[in-house]
Amino acid sequence: MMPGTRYPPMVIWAARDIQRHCGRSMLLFACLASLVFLTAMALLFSQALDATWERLMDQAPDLVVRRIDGGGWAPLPVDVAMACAKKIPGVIDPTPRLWGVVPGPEGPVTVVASIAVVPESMLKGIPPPSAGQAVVGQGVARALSGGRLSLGSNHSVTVSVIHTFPADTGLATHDLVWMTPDDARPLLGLVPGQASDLAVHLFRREEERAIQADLAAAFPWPVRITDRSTSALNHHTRAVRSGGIAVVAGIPALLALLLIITGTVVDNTARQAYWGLLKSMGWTTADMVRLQVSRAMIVGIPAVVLGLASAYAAVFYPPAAGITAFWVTGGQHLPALTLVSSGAAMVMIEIAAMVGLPFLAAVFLTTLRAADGSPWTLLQADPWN
Amino acid sequence: MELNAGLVCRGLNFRWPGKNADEPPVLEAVEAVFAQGTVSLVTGNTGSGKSTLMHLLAGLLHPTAGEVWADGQPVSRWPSRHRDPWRRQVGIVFQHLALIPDLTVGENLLLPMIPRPITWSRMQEEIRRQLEDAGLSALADAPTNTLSGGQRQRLAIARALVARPRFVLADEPTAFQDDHHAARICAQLCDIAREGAVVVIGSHDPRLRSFDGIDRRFHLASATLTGAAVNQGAP
Repeated sequence: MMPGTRYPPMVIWAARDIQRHCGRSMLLFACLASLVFLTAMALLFSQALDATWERLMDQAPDLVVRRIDGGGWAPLPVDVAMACAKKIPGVIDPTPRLWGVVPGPEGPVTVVASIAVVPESMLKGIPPPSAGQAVVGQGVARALSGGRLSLGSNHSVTVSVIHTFPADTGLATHDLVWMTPDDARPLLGLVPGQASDLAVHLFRREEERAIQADLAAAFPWPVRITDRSTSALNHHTRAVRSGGIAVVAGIPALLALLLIITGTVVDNTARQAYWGLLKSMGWTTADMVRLQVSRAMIVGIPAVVLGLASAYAAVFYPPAAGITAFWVTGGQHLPALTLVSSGAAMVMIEIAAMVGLPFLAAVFLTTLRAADGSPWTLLQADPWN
Repeated sequence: MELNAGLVCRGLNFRWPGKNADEPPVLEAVEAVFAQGTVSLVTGNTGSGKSTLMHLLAGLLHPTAGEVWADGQPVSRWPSRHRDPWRRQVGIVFQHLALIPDLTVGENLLLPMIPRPITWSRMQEEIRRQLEDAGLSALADAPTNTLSGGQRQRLAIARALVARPRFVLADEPTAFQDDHHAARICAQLCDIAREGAVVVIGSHDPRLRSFDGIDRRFHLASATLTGAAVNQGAP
């Protein structure tokens, strides 16, 4: 046998067979692409979330100290807090931060005045605002009138917007307004010398739990201390918990898989006379399996590629990613998600196991079963008899 | 061991599964040799078992008893994994034609060629040749369901011959043909036989009985096949 002479005609015939059953093939393509999209989106999102938490944890402070009282959160006197924190061995670089949520023109916005709140990687060389100026996220920029922004209700502040955060940081900066501390304080209800919280770095990160107790005891008022692990875990848990809708997405995905497998089984059963005719002309069971697998590949590979590409865009392409993040996490604004190559490989393996294997198994087994009968019996299934 | 080249039936019995044992079988103790390079005609009334015999010879049905030998090999005993590829040596014309109506004429001819280890260009060449022989060249791209009955039958014959089979089994190949085309089909089948194929025609068409190219005539009646050589040159 000449090598390579058997497959091209088989593949050409498989393509022609798909064209013969155009509607069914399109339905299969749509089901497969949707199934891959739904599963890959959930998997990619989960992988990216994990990778992003790790990246954020590297940039985040080791501990964040917030003062609390009977009414909840309370302003933190900067001098006292700094002095108390510095007394604890192992604490380095305590940084007071000014930030909070205030009413904006189209809903609440997050005002930050100390850049320590925002990871440096998101600033992308944007110069800091001066008095009366602000840098805003894409969501806030849309609500601007004449380049000016009014914030707050009791103490209203109006600033002119000089920059907008880049679109690819939208998950983290969508509702962000960066302004000077003097502009921010009236909005946040803070007087000079007060901060929202205190970010603390540690000489040894592994001591974060041990130092928390010393730190809490050092302050003259009750504080709540959040470490990086707890912070990330809380964020992650909240995202996963509110991502119940992602589980709901699994139902159509399962139905799509069921439809694909049922369609494959029914299709092969309905073509018994065709298989009988092919067998009477010298096709072997292996030839028929090869034809069906070629058909499955021609439809399946582009569908999987389209599903994966759509899922990638839905998780990582900023405008779509915002919608996906909203849908999966229930409205949290997340930082720009990143995917590591090992995570991508894992998603590919999971997709292969969840979609590719059941589909190919359905194709392979039903063809094997349908083509295994006596050709005469198979031929009797058609109207020509 | 059967050493005859061609198709040989030895004590061939066939009874449809599920039929009562006291009902007469379709075929009983059939002994026949369909030799290489000959055209054999099997006649018989409708329902006499001609089509069943063709299907047994083609390995589509299993005999209840007895054997079918092809070129000295007991093909009826073979499991399907051996018999399926052996059928590449068989070109069968079904009584009901069994064409795929939504495919074009050319595509129907392509079907038996696809699993064979030949190049795409060679397939196209063989198809072109068969279409010319069948007088269907102008209809190569026409959907099969637009053809007349006679054209469809010629297409079914062309499909059986396109891969140059060693055994040609034609069930009523002239049923829908006028005299001219019937003679042409007979001549075509004779040419194939002269090139070394084994040709068996099952038909009750009276025009074939008087055709000169027939080497052996068999008659099937009451489940029994009787026959004799009619051409001197037949082996």
